[in-house]
Amino acid sequence: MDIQTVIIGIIIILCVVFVGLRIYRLLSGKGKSACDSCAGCALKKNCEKK
Amino acid sequence: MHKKPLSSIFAEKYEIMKLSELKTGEKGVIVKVLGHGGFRRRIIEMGFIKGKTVEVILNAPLKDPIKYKIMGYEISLRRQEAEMIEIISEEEARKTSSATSLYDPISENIPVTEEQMRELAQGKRRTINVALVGNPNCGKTSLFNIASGSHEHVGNYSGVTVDAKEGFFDFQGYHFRLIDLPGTYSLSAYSPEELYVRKHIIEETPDVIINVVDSGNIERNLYLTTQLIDMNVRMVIALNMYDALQNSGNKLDIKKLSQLLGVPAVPTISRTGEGIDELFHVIIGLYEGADFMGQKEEIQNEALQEYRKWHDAYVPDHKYGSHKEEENDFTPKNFIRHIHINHGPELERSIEAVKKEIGKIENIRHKYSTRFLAIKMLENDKDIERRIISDMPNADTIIDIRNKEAERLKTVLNEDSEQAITDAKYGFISGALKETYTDNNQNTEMFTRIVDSIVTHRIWGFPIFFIFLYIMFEGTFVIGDYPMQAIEWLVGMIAQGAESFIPAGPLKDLVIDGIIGGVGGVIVFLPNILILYTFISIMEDSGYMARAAFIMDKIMHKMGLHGKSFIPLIMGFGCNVPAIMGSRIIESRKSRLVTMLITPLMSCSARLPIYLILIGAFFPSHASLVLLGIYSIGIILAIIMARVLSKFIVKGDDTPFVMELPPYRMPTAKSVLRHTWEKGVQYLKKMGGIIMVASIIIWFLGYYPNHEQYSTQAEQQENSYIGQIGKAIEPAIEPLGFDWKMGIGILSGVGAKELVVSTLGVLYAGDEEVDSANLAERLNITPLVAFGYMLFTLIYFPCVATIVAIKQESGSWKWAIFAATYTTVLAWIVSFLVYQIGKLFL
Repeated sequence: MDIQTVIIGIIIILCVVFVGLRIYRLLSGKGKSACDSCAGCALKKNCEKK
Repeated sequence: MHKKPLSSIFAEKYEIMKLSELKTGEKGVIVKVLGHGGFRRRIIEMGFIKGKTVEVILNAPLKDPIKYKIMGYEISLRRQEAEMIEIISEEEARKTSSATSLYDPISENIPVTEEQMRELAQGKRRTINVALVGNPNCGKTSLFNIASGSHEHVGNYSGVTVDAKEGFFDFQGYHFRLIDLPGTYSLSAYSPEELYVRKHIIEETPDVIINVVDSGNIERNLYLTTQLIDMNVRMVIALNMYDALQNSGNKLDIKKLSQLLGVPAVPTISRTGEGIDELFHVIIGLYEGADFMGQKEEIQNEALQEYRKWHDAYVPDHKYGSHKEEENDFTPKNFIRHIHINHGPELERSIEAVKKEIGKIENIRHKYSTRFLAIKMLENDKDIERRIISDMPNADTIIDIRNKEAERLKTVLNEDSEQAITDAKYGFISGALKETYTDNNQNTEMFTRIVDSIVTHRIWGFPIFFIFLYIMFEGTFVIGDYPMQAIEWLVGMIAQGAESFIPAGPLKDLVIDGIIGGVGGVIVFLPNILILYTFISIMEDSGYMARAAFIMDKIMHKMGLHGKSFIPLIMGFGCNVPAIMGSRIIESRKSRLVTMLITPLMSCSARLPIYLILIGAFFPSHASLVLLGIYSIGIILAIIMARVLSKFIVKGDDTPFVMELPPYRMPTAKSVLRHTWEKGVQYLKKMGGIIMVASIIIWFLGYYPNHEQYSTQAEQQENSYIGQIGKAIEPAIEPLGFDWKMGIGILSGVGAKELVVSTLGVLYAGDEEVDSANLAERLNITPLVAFGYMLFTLIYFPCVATIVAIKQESGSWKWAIFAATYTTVLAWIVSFLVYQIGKLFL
């Protein structure tokens, strides 16, 4: 297996981990809410889980 | 001998005992919880409900908090909070029991049962303190006189030269203590009257406030109403001098106004006494009914049973409607709910910043609504600053934040914060009256009214709006074309650079075809999107967008939505993700949810490359018509789905809410650019991460396994992972006329819609670069199939970023998955019908 394939393998694993982490954080509610990234949101209270 | 009626006992010696006065080991029964709405709600949720017995576990002097036992639980309350709860103690019950008979010897050891205490508490609760608040000359005093009869006396309260009258009367089993406060236009800190009224509301905590409004001058009078709403007090609006309104030919939808403000409104004519009975009946219902609701809006049975017993005893003929109607009226979603006056995004941001700092100090929240204090600070209210804020440990920080926010507001809005808040409140009032008030005697001198009469005209409003939209889309594509070409050139340069410097192999293919191909495809459209957002920002900041919402309101209602839904739907033509985030401006959860679910049907700019390639290939002579047709089909489907979803799928009642009509203002360049920049950064952040990762994964699935084994790229693709997946789904898409390669294109579009074009290009082109002409030759499909494919791309599964946005905004994966599922099913059905029916004719 050449070095390029190894690098690709690492990149793919990182991508899968990235997607997995993102899904986990979204599912567990630990992800950064869109509110925190959007300055000037008029109705921040609506972002809170009802 | 006659026992004195309870009401007169309490009238004569109105002694109030507070929960904080009970000593360790003593018991009491709760009479009522005072204070503003937010505090009362919190205390009631903790279990401190009227009629419940509370026992003091530990109340040591100088010790805070105090420990209580209620409903079997131990709970601690701060002393200041306990001071806001009125109770009847055993001691007091004993004294009162003995006071009802002149001849029984008074014994210190009269046993008092909990049941007796509860009855006495209930009796005590039957005294309602009501304060009359309103503008000068609104008929407050007439109302006071007619309600209280001759039982009044004038009190000159020490230290100020203002008068307040106090009167008593009985009505429907309740004893009313009515205070007529001085007339005032607002609750700022400029005049002794204003300060006195405000102090009375905060210190004396009346149970209910009657906000007397002169119906003939409703706009000006409602300004005070908005300030009372900020204070989060229990109140009823008396629309006084209602006969004058009726005689003027103007009309007011009282029920709608009540629903919009979250405050019951009753028309009264204090001159004749008309409506006064109903007013106080509503007050009793409000006073008792507010405790109906538990945290999850379930009805508290005990409170409800008491309310019904009272109703049967005193209003047996159901003069004001049936039990059910009245109970329905007192649900938060209808008439009694606390609303926030929406001051607009910039002001709300500042209010939130100041409120957050104030809210850090717990012992202020029992008396004041932190939002009210934040608004007052931004209004530079010296009285609040001096009396309340300066005593707080973080006073310096609060004032610092206030000053910073005031500076920021001055730069962004071009006016000082106090003026901006006033304007916002009048914007709110305008919006509310626009929906509920028909003024047949309008003066149209003001700039806002003149412009509004044109842009919100029943007939001309629509074409004017569509002209603005046309200018917006045209500008987006024409102006955006230049930077788009520049970015395409840059992406091409980067690809060439990678081509030159990276040694041949899979890594090079990953960088060029995967990363640069995928991310480059997104970045190319950034200028178009930024320009679109600039136009939208200008329309929002100038105040025109609010008018657009009004124009579209009727159509939106027919769709089962609200006028405010229109704004995010328009944004969906740019990108669905910020459109879904933009649905936050819709305050009704049901409308917001339906808007989010139909937003994917608004053809976003990412789908445009697919249309352009296929239309260029198969419909060159009718390009514009076909493109317009695709967009229109999306809109029509959105309308149909909105109706279906509102009726069958999304449950819940629609809460009415105000669409603010702020005054027109010249948008500042700084504000527009800042909004555009923020939205652009958001777009890049969200897209960049997901797009890049998705592109890499899709590239990987199309590249492996056995990349070297095949002579052509297309053959390699067919045998790759993604090819295998394509072959597997081919049976599902064959009835639509699509082959496995088109299926792969559809699958790759899940990551980002732009990926459909690049995937098709690679699959159909083999090793060469493609353009429309070549693609047309290689596709080997009919124009009918091409049209069906465009429809499928229009309707199906929104991209992953959109799905995630729906999840974040709706708070549930259920709705995100539903959006993905229903759009895919709908896309399949529509494409199937088009292909199968079209085959019969072509």
